Amino acid sequence: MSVSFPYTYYACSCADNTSTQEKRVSQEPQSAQDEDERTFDPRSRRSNFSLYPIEHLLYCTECHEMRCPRCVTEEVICWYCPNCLFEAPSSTIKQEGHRCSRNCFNCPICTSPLSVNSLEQPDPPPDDKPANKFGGPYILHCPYCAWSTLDIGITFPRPSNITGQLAKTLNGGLPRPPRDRKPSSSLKRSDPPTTHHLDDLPSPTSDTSTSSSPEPPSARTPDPQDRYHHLLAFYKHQLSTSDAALLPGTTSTSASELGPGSPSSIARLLHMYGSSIRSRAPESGPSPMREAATPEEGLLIYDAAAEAADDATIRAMQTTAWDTHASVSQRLDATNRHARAVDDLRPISPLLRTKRAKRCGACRQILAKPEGKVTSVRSKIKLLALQNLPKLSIKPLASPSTMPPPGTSAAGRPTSTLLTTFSSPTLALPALSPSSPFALRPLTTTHYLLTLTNPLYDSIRVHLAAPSALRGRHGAGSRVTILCPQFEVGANTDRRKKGERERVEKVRREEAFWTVLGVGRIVGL
Amino acid sequence: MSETKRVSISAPQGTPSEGRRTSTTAASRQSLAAKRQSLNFPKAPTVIDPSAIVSTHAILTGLHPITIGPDVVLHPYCKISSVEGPVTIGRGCIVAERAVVGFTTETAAQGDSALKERDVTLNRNVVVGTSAVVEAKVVDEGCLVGAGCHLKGGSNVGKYCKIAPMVIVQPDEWIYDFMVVYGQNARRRDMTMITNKDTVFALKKEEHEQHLAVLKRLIPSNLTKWQ
Ligand SMILES: [Zn+2]
Ligand SMILES: [Zn+2]
Ligand SMILES: [Zn+2]
Ligand SMILES: [Zn+2]
Repeated sequence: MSVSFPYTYYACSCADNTSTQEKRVSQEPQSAQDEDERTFDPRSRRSNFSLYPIEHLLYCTECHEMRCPRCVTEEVICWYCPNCLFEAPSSTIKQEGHRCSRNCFNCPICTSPLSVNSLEQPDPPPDDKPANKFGGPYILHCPYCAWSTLDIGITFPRPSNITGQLAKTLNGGLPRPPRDRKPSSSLKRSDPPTTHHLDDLPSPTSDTSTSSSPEPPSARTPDPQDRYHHLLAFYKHQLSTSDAALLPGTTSTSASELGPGSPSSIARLLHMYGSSIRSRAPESGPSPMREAATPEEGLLIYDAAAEAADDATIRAMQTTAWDTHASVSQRLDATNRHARAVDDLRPISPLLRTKRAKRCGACRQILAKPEGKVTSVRSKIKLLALQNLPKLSIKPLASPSTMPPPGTSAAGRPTSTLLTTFSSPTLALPALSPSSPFALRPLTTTHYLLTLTNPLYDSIRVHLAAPSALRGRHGAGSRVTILCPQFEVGANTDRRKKGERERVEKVRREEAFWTVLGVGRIVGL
Repeated sequence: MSETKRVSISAPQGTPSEGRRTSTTAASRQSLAAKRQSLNFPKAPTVIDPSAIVSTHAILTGLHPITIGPDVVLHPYCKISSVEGPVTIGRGCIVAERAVVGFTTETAAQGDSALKERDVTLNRNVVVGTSAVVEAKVVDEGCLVGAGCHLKGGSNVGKYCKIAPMVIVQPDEWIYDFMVVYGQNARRRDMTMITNKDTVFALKKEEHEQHLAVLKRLIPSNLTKWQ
């Protein structure tokens, strides 16, 4: 459904009655008055955020208001992997993060899902043992762009638990050196110890950790994954131990207290700036935590070695071919953010997706709730604006003879049609496609037909109004004449059996679902 | 008598349309026959290896010679057109249904009229996907042309290339050996193939042979139609 020129958008009123707006009313009565007096202008930039096609809108049956994406709150019902469609329990999300930890991977080159392929040689095919056919080393292979983990020198001995096997292997096939779980324990690396400028600084130690003399970190840039795990361990450690010992007021003579990131310094700063901040009870908030201060804790230090590494990277980029460099889009994923060359890329585990329920922002009533099953696309609850608000559609009228007689509708719904006339003066319409036969043209009168469809079982009375002259880019200066400004649309006469009606409703709901999928949001009028 | 005979001509055995066809009236049968007549393309001069599988519903048309090598599989409703120049299909190629190999009168009219040589050659073990159009001068050994691709006239595709589905290769383009063309005309070298020649080649060969074996069992061949 592409939005061509005559279309209808619905303005959600939530932009005007949010709490911030009310607060502003009390603070700035002058400007608030201005806002109140101003009628809704669909052309102002602000209106872009409150105009929606009716298919995007929900309806709260408690508040009797339409609800747009801005004024609903969402809550996650379940997390699932888009590749394998397995639901991930929320406890797993908290522990292992929001990526699929099963055998799902996406291609780092083209993002299509990778498949696990066997590399076993077909040369000795024992005819009596067909079951043993797919043995041997396995690779992840992209069926679209033909990338495989062979490109980065990784094969897997087993076809299951690829995630675990991949985590233990570096690009090139070497096993990843075992990492230390505890940030305070010294790193056991085989690299020769090098001097480090941090050694000259006072050794950052915290009171509770048993950290002692700073270990010389390795000269090469630490593996990003290692660094991430160091940081993770550091923060977990901080969370578990940063209690009373680190709170301000405790006497502490540690060197870390002198650093600008230490909790006591932060407390001192808070004390200096403004009593309002200090007046809040410090006990109620989370305990202050210091930042990572050493490479063991995940700090990445820019030093001479890193500079040399950068120079080497730049030299390599100058001498190697274009297609050996990872593109920006390939580096966008967090897994590959550090990668410079195509050889540094790693398979990406897909991000999990969520199914969400939608609640009314004002009264917390559930407006939409998808079924809990991952594979189902149906909804348990879906209160659509389409079922509760009159639907307006505007069509250009080619000639008056083609106007359908009013009151007819395919669905048996009462509709009311009326004629709206635009007579356009001198200005041309640059934004409209010239191919459109119904675009407004200067000095010609164009007829439009506005159709209202009433889904309710009560009749409605409609008053139409339009500005006498249009403003904005489209049809500026055009005059609008509404030929029938007041009329009534009869009640929905679709008094079929309940079951049958529900079936119709269901079909309609699914239609709406697909329309919402197919429509991109068009900003602006 | 004539009823059953017509059925056997119009539909291959076992298709679900068989029952429907037998119940058609004489009038509709006649119109069907007329339609069939209009669909009859002029037969091209062909040289087909006896081991090739050419379906009854494959279309081989044109005035220039068409050469089909051993173990080639031409699916039903694929079209080999030698209207503008000779077409050669090498050993072990597979042309899927609704794919077109060679210039047809329509594509030749749209394309570059200055293009002199309009012959099309598929070398060994090329797989042409569903509804792809191949007008390339040469598609070399082991290439995979994805579904809906269009290799325009005068282009050359090297060995073991992969043209991903729906890709359009422009006229006179050269695609070098082991290239993968995908997405919005993105290219990359298939390092998996280049760096692991022995392993991956053997696997690909095995896979292709299995593919051929399966198709040979499934597609009834009708070589007599073209000789
Ligand atoms: Zn809203
Ligand atoms: Zn998954
Ligand atoms: Zn890929
Ligand atoms: Zn509500």
